[in-house]
Amino acid sequence: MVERIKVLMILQLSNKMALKIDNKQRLAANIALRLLVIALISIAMVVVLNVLNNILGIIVNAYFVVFILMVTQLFAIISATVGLMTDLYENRENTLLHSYPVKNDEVFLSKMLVYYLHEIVKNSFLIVPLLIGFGWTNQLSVYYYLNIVPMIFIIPAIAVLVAALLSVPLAMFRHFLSDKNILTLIVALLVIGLMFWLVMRVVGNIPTPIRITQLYSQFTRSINRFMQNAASYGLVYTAIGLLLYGIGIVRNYAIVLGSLIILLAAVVFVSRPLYFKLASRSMEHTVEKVHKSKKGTSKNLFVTFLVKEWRIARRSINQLLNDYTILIALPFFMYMLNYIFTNMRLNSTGNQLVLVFNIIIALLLVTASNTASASSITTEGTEFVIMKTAPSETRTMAWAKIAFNLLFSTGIILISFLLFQIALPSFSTTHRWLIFLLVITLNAGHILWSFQIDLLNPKLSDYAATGSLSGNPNIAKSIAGGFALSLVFGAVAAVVFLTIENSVAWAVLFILAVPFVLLRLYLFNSYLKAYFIDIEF
Amino acid sequence: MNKKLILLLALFVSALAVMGVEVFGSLPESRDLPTIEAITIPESEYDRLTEDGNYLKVVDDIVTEQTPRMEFAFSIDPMPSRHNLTVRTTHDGVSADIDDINMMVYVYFDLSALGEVVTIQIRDRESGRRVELVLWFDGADEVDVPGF
Repeated sequence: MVERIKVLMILQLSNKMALKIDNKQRLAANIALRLLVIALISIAMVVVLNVLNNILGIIVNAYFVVFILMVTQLFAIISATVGLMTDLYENRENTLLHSYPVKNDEVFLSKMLVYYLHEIVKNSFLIVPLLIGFGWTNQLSVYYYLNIVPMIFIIPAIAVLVAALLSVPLAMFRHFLSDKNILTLIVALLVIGLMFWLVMRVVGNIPTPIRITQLYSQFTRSINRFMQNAASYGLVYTAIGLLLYGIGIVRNYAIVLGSLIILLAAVVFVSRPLYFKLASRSMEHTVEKVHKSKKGTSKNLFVTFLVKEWRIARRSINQLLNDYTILIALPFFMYMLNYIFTNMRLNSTGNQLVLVFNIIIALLLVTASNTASASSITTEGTEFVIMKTAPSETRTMAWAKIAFNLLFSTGIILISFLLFQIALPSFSTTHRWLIFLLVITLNAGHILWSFQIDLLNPKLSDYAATGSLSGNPNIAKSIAGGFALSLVFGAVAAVVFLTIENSVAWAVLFILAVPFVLLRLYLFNSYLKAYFIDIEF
Repeated sequence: MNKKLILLLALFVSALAVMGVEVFGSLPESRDLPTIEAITIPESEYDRLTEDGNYLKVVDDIVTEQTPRMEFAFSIDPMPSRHNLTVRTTHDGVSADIDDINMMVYVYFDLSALGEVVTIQIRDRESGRRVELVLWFDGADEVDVPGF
């Protein structure tokens, strides 16, 4: 059994890293390099913790460690849960692993161990330097550093075991939602609405008029009190923090090891029996298609492709939400920032700076959301070549895709600004809607630019083989282009708003934005006519 | 470049925006208010006065291993007034924060500092006025009250 698990682990690990060791010197150099990186991160941590403690007024004590452990491990558990939901139940390698002469439990165990190793490596670059930095800052004894060694193995074990437990109901929930697009959309809207309401409640507690210096001291005070109070609810992480600090070592080690045993038992008796059932579920037949034969053809090719885009979006709400996640952050940013600005006692320079920063932040978030356009052709995968064989002007599909992305992102931006208007009516209405117009104008240009990037270098075969857009260079280029655009227009806005009258400043911005869109339109059209025909699988 | 990086950049720009607007775009504080004439600690917040006229509070039951922190109120006269209040402690393992809106001081003990007698000083930088509160543990080894 041990041998089979070892082979299964090697098979999975070889997919993630180079396991073959050709040269021992190279291996030693690699290990030395990693240790050096850990040492450098530890030094950086010492600096950061000293700045926090001595300059920023955040108290770095045992409760700080407990709090940081709680926060980092919360993120580690979320990340491990998402990772395990894919690795355990939906990974393409499952088909292969289950076809080997091994037991399901062995596949499950090997997957858990592989993930655990991955977490140990990840933690060694964050938690270990943090603990070393904390010990150095507080000049703790050698026993503190000795206690870090078992924590290298215990802390990731807790995260992985909790994630293994959480991944079961979440995988079931995801499976349940997989064929219920409307419900997914309602759940997403409810979650976003709830988050916005929470942000409004939290931000509403800031005392007005806002004086940043006082607000900062209140902020550090709240952080210090919150960290101390949170430590009472840290469960096993409180025990880890206290035992590292040398308090109740035996009792706290007993709590930590007891928790590990309970978690392990829960995984063995809950997750393990359900593993194969969940992993072997196919999504292929979850959608019950009711085909209604319908006579009639569309005379307009553009409308046909646009309807197709709408149908794809409707059938994959998850993908659509994923593409525009960052755009959903726009109303949150705009509300929080402008709440602070409108409650500050601003002079005329302050009013101008508010406009400049609103433009920069809105453009940063909006242009980073055009990844759907930067992968429009790529995501067609193998279907693209089939579609190209159709006896018609198939490049019209590009315009349909652009129109859909433009309409959808403009819709979300409009909703963001309407929310902003309702939540913060004191912000100047004229400026609000001028920012909206400028943002959607530049967004249109950026959508054309992003599509052009994908048009010139589509990754059809990569996507067809992996089904993933991870590491797609076109997306990276689109985001980088958007970033550059935001910086350029932000800089222009800063110059014009701080030097000339508002009405003239807006005119200058639109005089630059409109030709930019027209240029992108001309270039896109030219490239589409020249290169669409040449796209091959 | 990816979406996470842009989100982080947006957060960074937001922080920069708030700082920038505060430094270059906000009106100065009013200088019309008078400075502080006295800082006092109300009777409910201390147990007795020392020979030096400082306030003393016994904190054995308040500051424990489970709750290594405490808070106390103070007041300033006149109100409103122009002030710049700071707080200091006499022990490295004890930190304190001052809230000059709600007129409260929050004191945090490191576990290593539990049981140590410590003096908390509130000082106004504008007027130079100050007040001290000695936090006393009945079981403390030290007899001398540490001062500034």
